[in-house]
Formats: sequence, structure tokens, C-alpha cells
Amino acid sequence: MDLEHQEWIRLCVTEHQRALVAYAVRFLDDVGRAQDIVQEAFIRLCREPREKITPRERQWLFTVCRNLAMDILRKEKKMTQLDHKMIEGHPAPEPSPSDGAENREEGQNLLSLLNRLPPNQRETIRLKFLHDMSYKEISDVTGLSVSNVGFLIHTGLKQMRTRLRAGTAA
Amino acid sequence: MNTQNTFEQDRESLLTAYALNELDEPSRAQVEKEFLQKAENLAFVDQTRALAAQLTLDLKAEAAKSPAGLREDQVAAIEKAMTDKPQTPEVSGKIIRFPRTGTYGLLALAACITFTVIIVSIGRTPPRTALAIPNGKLDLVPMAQKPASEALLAKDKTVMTKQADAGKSIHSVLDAEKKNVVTTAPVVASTASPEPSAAPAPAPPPLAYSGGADSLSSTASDLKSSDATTKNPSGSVVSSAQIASPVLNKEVAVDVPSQSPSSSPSTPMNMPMDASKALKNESNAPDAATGMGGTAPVRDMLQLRAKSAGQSAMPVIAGQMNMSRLAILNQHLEKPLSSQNYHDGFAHEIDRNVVTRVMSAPGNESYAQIEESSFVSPLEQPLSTFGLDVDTASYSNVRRFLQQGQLPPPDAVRIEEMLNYFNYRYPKPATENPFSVSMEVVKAPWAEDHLLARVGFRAEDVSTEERKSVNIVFLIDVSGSMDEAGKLPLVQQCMRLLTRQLKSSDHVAIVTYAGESRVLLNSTSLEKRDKILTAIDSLSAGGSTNGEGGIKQAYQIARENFIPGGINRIVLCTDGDFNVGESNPNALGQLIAEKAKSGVELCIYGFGMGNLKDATMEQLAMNGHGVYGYIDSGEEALNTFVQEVGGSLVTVAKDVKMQVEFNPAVVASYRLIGYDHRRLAAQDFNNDAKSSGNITAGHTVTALYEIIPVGKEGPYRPANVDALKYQPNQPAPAVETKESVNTNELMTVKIRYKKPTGDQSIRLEIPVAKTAVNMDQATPDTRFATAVAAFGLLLRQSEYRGSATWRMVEKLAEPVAGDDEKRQEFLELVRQAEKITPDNTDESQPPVMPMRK
Repeated sequence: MDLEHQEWIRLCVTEHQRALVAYAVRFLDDVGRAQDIVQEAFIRLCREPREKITPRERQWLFTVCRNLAMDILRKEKKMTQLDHKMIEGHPAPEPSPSDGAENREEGQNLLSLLNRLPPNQRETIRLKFLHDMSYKEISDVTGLSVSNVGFLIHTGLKQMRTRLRAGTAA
Repeated sequence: MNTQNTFEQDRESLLTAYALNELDEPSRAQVEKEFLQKAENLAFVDQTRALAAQLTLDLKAEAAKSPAGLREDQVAAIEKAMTDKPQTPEVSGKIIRFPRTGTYGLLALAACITFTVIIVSIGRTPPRTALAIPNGKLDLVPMAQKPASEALLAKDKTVMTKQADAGKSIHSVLDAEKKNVVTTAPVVASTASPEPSAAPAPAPPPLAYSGGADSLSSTASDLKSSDATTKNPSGSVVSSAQIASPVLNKEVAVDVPSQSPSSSPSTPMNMPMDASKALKNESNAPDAATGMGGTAPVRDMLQLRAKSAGQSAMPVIAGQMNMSRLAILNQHLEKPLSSQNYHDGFAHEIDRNVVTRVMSAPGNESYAQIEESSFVSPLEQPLSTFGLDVDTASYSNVRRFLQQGQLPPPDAVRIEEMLNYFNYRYPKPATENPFSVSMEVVKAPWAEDHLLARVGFRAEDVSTEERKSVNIVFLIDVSGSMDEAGKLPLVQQCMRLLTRQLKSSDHVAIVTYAGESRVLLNSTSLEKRDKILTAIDSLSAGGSTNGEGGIKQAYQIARENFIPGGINRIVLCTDGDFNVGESNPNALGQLIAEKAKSGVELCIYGFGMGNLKDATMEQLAMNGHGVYGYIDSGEEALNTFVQEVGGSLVTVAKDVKMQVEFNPAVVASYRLIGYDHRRLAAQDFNNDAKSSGNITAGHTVTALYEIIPVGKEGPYRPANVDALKYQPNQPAPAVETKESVNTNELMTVKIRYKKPTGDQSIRLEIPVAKTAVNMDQATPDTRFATAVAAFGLLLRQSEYRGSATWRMVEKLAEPVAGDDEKRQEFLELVRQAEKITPDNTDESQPPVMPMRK
């Protein structure tokens, strides 16, 4: 592997590791395991010719992390159905302690509302607003169609707004 | 959910997308125009933006609170992977703490690739082996009983190293495919199996891992449920086929007998080791395929695989291979026009799909291979027969490639469609025939001594007022893939434009199809124009595609509202995605050909890019007696959809066929440029049952023959045949012509056509003199057509391009382009093509196909 390639991977690691861990944690609810997944994603990146991945390395890394996380979830839940819809329709992992803390905190209303949305809406909304991805990029990562992404984000936001207004947060 | 709600939801979704700046310019403008006049919508947008801003802040603050990245040892592991040889399994073995994840993923990939190898082997070997596949269909059950091992082994040894029995192995792989990743566990488990009786000292685990205690427990429980373990001759434990992991265990089980006789205690005959080897081999395969050192067979395979990629790659890779997926694969193996389809270089993209499993639907365009006609002698084939073609799709597609900075795949270049894209000022018909025929013979610019005979048709014009009433059924693809700026919104734009041009006696219906077909608008008179426009606005995309159901429904509506003597037409707008459900293109083609007899035409317009099944659409439109256009911009929409309201909507002649008889006293050999998919047998010319293309009002059609005159035979041998064994080869038999033959005549053009409502064909015959003029004295139209043909030959990397260069094309076209926008654009494309072609490329070498980004 030439130096340029190595440099590229280092750059990717520096640039994306935090975002990827933050993303993976949402599936696995465990920082350690999220880190493992991210590590594996970068190792896989090492095996890819750069020209194949750029300029979409970010989506690529997110996708790989997502799939790795899905694999683990599938295994743990002994799921026999691989359909993404099934997984996304599956109950989300228990809220983490930090989520609980947020629930009790004032000013965290929005995030606790977010965490009450179905997993697929949560994921797309996080990708959109935390990771600043476009619908198209989210579609690349999740394999959902752009219109589906738009629909999920719209529905999620609408739900949150309704609940905000109804004051049912917390 | 009733439709009203759906519309409401779509509208809000659109507004949300608008608020989040996710719309492209045309859609933004549309939203602003149509929705933002209302205060309620404006408020919605503002609220969405406020919520989005707050959410962004909160999420980022939350992320900043726990800024976990990778641990140092993990970064070091990545560093190591970077410098290590990429394909060594140890890399993943030593570093990954997630053996399960990596392993299962790789297992699934390996299974998938193995399966692909089977398919590819089968698909490629029929002539040599016993694996004959009727119609390219893959019949798995008989296959499994046939000795496929030879082909499999020959194809890729790294993947299928040890098949003792192909039948079993196929079954085992298929079994594996049917199950999912979760169940493909326990090679690892078997090595670490807590088998109480005969377990040897635990063999070294195939992949070392540190944190896998939980994985062990779960896989161990899998093992307990499988009681069938046997000893092989060397005394170690063999997990037999009943264990939950079919891929490796079955292969391993099959393996044992073949190896045991030669086994000795010193050889690593214990099964765990074999299993681990198998595992490594298996997991190597995807690496090799996707990484840098991909072996050629795997690459090829992936390329082949690419054809079925968009559909099947993802599910297969996810490990879920069932018979219905196989059915889809079968469909993809079945080619509508020829056995080999060209795929425009997306293997790259597919590689990535194999690894990452997801990514968005890759480019998935396919083109039927074009075999150019060669020079033939009029002594052997005095007649050249073909159906006229008014399609123009290829030109738009070629333009799309060039504007993206790459040369189009040669098989995407259909020269006749490029020629017919342009307007030519051929004389208006002056006789009772609905079209005029004009001819001109010039000297070919790209080959000395060769002549070009240009045949030009011009159909009579029919003004909108005097044209017949129209019964249009729009059949709109609203599958998820249409949800892009260049697709459904453009379709809607076209429909609106067209609707505005129609007159009150016309009727419009709209059928949509995605997973299911739906009648969005029953046939509605143009007196209710607003109702039609509202329905057009309500179109939205989502779901998968089933072209066939929609087509049936569209034909039904067209028949129910049939206007006798009028124009009855289905206008299908799609991005070419006919690949769900009963979408066998052949069956679909037959259905359409059948329905076309009822007098309803099918016109197909392809939109957007990335998923275009060019060959399918061309064939379907041919079967449906309609046109096929490719629309890639708003301007194009105007060109194709609207300018053709007066044109495309009025067929002035149908089943137009042309036959040219060459005079062997003058012509040594000839070649029809383009029309490679439209060639007919000579006897089809007089066979009225054999249908062909239609000519619609205002259209011009151009055909060019390249002719080698007698005495000027150059490097192109007329017919590519071996020397005769029993007859004298030399000299060529003296030209026996009728006494009355006119040696001043080059050829005779014969045309047959039917009146739009007639079944009896009418025949025309026009002789052509051999006098050729120099190119600079030719009419501007002929010069321009010659330039287009030369451009096409270059893009096709045709062996007949002679001395043609981009420069030559430019020089031919420039003086005659005038202020015609299409022609000026053509010049731009020629310059673009010249720019793309690397300077150092010898033009006799086909330029390397640039990869898509």
C-alpha cells in the first residue's frame, strides 16, 4: 500500500472516527463495541482501492458500520429475518442510562422526544442533523430510497412537533 | 389510507424537504410557486426549520459530551492493517475483536460469490459441457444432478477448491444461501466444540479472537443441538452436515471421503483445520474480488454479476438467497435481444456493493450488443432490407455520457438513432404518398474511393388542428427509483406541456405502476383540463416496479376508450426498471406485440439515468409499434414530447420497410451504416404480416449506405468467407446482368408502407444514379448526416471508421450547422469527445472506457 493511500486512510480515521462511533453507539448501546465496529470498518477500508471509494468514503464507512452493527443485532436477537424493515421495526435497544438521565434533565426534551421515535426515523434524523448528511447520502448509507428517507425524516419531525406541542415530553 | 391523505402526506414531505434544503432548483421553484403562497405552508416550513436548527444544536451538544473515538490500540491496529498485505487473513484474525461479525459477513459474501460462480460457470459454459441451458435459463434442479464440478473448478479455484461432488456442493451452497447469516455460524464453533467424547486437544482456532466469549456460548449451544458428529479416519471430530452451518460443514463433509485414503497422522487431517482452511479460502474470495488483487475470474464474475446487480446483489449478499431471488436472477440471465449484453463498466460499483452490501442502487444500464453489418457483395446479397426507425433515444444517451465527460459504451451508440435525431430539410412530399424520398450519392470522406448513398425520407406535416382525436393513456412508473429530479418531476413537466397542447376532443388517462398498478385518472376529456393537470401534479414516487401489470391495465383503458380512426396511444414513462414481478422481457414483448394489433401504439420514453434498460425499452417499443425516446433534460422534453404532438401523435405511414437492390455492375460491395437492430430478411419486404416501424408526421428519416465501387475494392473484403474448396475461387464470377441493365444506376430503392389504417402495403421504387458528387458540393443535409455517421463510427470504435477523426467530423458539420440548435450542440459534443479522448491514444486503438465516478 503506497504512502498516499496510507495518508488517505489516516485522514479518514481522524476525520470520521468520532462520528462513526457516535453513529454505531446508537445501534449497540455500548461504546466499546461501537469502537470495535468502527475499527473493523477502517480495516476494511484499508483493503479498498482509494479511487473506488472516494469521494464517498464517509457514506461508505457509515454503511459498513451500519451493516456490522446490524449483523450483531441480528445475532443477538436471534433474528431469522434479514429484511431491514424487520430490523428497523424491531423494538429499539433499551434506552441507555444516559438516555434516562437526559429524560430527567430539563432542556433535553427534544432528544428524549427523538429517542421515542421508531428506530428508522431516529436513525435518519440523526444522520441528517447530527451528521449533516443530505437525503441522498442517507439513502446511500441506509439503502432506503431518497423519497423514503424524506418521508421518515418528515414523519419523525412531525411527530416530535406534535408531542412538543402537546407537552407530553418527559 | 385514502388517496387524499396520501397526497397530503406527500405534500408535507415535500415541504419538509424544501425546508431542509433538500430540493433541487426546479423542485424548489415549483414548491415556491405552488405552495408557499399559502401562509399555512410557510408556517410549516418555518417551524420545520426552527425544529431542525434546535435539533442540530442539541444533537451536536450531546455528541460533544461523549466524544468517543477509537482507542489508541485500535488506531494502531488500523495502522498495521494499512501496512500489512491486504489479503492476509491474519490481519483480520489478529485485530478484530468481532470474529462473529467479520466472519459471518465474510461467510455470507463467500456464499454469495460461490453461488455467483456457479451461475457464471453455468451461464458461460453451455457449448462445451453438458450444461445446456435452454434460453439461458438456469434450471437448478437438473443442474444439481449434472457434473458441474469441472466447470466450477475451472472457474475459480480459490472459491471452490474442493468439490468432490458438484450436485452436493450446489445443494449445500444453496442451502447456505437460503439460510441467513445468523445460521451460518459454526465452523469456528466446531473447532472450539466442547465435544466430550473424542475431541482432540482444541485445534488452533482459525481466527484468533480475544473478546468472543459470548459468541462461543451461543455457537456452542448451536452445536449441542446437533448430535451428528462423526469421526473421520484420522480420529478427529467431524461435524456433519446436520450442523447448523451448511456452507462449510457440508463442503467439509463432502470433502472427507476424497481425502481420507491418503491421510496420515502427520497431515493436518483433523477437520477443524480443514474447516479453518476452508474458511480462510472462503473469506479470501471476497477480499480478492473486492480488494486490489482481485483475480481475473472473480473480476469477470463480478462483471457478469453486475448485470443483475441492482436487484439481486444486495439481498444475496445479505445472505438471503431463496428461490424467488433465483427467479429474478434467471430473468436477468435471459436477454431480450442477444445473448450478450454490454454493461457499461459498473463492475467497480458492484464490487463495492459486494463488500458493503448496501450503497444505493448502482448504475444498472444494459445495452444489447450491436453487431455491425460488414461489407457484402451484391452478387451474394443483392438486397438490403430494413425497417425504418424514427427513434432518437441513442443520441440523447450518447450526449449524456459525453456531457458527463466520458465516452459512451460502443453498444449504446446506434448510428441510425443519432442520424434521425436531427432535422433535415428534405423536400416535402409532392405526390399522393405521405412521404417524400430523396437520394444523394457523395464520396465518403473517411475512405478513399468509397461512396456514400444517402436516402432521406420526409413524412408529410399534419397541423395540430387537422390531426385526429387522440386517446392517450399515460403509463407512469412511480417506483422509488423515479424519485429524482430528472425523472418523475420531468415526466410531470412533459405531461403538463403535452396536456396543454391537446384539444378538447382528446382524452387522457393516467395509470401508475410501482409495486402495483393503479388507475390514477380514468380516461378524461380535455374539456376537463384542470382535472388532468391536478392528477399530474399528484404523482409521486415510491415502491418497487411491476411494469407488466401496469401495461395490461393501460391497454385495457386504451381499448375501452378507443377512438376509431383516431390516435390511440399508450405513453410509457419510466427509468427502465422492469425488474420486479412477471417482468420477463420476452413475455412482456409478446404481450405488447399482441396488444399492438388492436391498434393501440406503445410509445416509451426513458427518463433519467443509472437504471436504464435500453435494450428492453427499444424492443418493447418496437413490439408495440411505437417510438422510443430518451429524455434527459427539460429541453429534451420539449423536443420529444411536445414538438412531436403534431408529429409523433400522427402516424402517416406504418410498417415502413426499405429494400435496396444494388447493381453488381457498379457496386462491388456495400454496407448499411447503423440500423443494426432493424435489419430484415429480404423476403420480409413483401411479407405484409411482418411488421416494422411507423413514420409519423413531420419526421425525417435518414439512412446511409457505404459503397465500394467495382474496381476500387480496398482492404475490406466483401464477404468474410473461406476460399471455396470445390469451385474455382478466381476470378470472381463474371457479373451476369440482365441485358437491359443500366450501368449508370447504382442501386434501386424500394419502399413498402401501409396507410395508417390499411393492411395492404403500397410499394414505391426509385432508381439511383451512380454519379457521385464531392462532399463540398453535396447538400448541407447530406454533409451533416455524413458527419453524424462518422461521429457514430468513431464512438462505436467501428472497424469501418477508416480515416475518420473527431476533427473530420467537426470540419464536416461546422459549415452546415447554421443556427440550428441541435446541430450546434452536436458540434459541442464532437469537441467534447475529442477532449475526453486522451491525446496520446492512437485512434486505431479503442480508447479506454473511463470508469463512472
